[in-house]
Amino acid sequence: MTATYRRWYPVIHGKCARMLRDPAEADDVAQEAFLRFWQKGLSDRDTEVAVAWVYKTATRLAIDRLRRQRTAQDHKRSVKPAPPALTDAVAARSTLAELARLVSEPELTAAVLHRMDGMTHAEVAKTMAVSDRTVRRLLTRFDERTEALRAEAR
Amino acid sequence: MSDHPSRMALDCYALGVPDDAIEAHLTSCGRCRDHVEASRADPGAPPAALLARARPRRAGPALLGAVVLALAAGLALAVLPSTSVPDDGEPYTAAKGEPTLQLWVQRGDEVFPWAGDPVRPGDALRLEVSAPGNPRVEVRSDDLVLYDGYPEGDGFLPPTWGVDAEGRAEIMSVRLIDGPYDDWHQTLVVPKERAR
Repeated sequence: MTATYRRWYPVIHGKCARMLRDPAEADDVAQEAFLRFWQKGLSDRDTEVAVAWVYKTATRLAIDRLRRQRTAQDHKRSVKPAPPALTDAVAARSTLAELARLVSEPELTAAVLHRMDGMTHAEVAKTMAVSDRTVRRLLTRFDERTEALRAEAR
Repeated sequence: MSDHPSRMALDCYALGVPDDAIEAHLTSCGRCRDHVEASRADPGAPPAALLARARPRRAGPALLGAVVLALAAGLALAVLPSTSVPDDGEPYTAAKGEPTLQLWVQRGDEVFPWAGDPVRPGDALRLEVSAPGNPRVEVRSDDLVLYDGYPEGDGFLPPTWGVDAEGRAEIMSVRLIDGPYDDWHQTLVVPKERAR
């Protein structure tokens, strides 16, 4: 395990840290992702395939973690906050927790991979195992959804 | 989009996948160079918490007693006590009223509670959940939802999952939802016997 950890953990942790503000949470999610990576024996696989698995799995684990965060503030709030401007939406980690509750997981995964990790549509499609067309549709729906939520909150 | 390679492409490069375009880009881009260096940084040895999570679980004496009793007496599953499998790998005793989780293994005609030993391809797995308030249970493996619903009257989840030969372990993340223990979760890492 040590050799796999030393080679792969920085990549896994870096991916998680970009999405999660809290360093302890990033560590926890990164360890969960690494454990799955190691148990599946992915270090023996083609590097590009293994990295794509890391990006997909770490993104979904982080989104899942964000979805489960229920702060006292959330319970008290009676009016939904306006989602952040689209261009900043996935660039700022502080907004991801909000978005995780407002948009579907596939849409947010596509948006994170495309706008936070800078992937092309083709790279996102390969990572998510969907077509380019589906990626475009997910991103369009993400934009429409966040825009509608912003309008609703105004 | 920017002119930078994606972070995934940079990580592939950092891990040794050759890419002339990225190599050329790095000569003039500090941001991407920093990313590659960070991805190649040596994190040192795995932390103890991670090693503990990777260690196969061992059952406590009470569970082993139950196994012996079950095998000797041929008892049905439902009458055996359930035992939670904690994340820290140590024997675990649940407080009264606390949710407990038990994985059962069927191997041929034999059925026994999982006690941390590797399972085999062809084994069938079934989960028993005991929790006050009959909460909804979600079981995931990676990003795949294996089950989302309620236990049956005897505490068993309806599906039975077969063990395949792929990978080193079956990983099942179990989460309770909408009950008094909302968001209680445990991850079972069930090692597999390696192919001979």
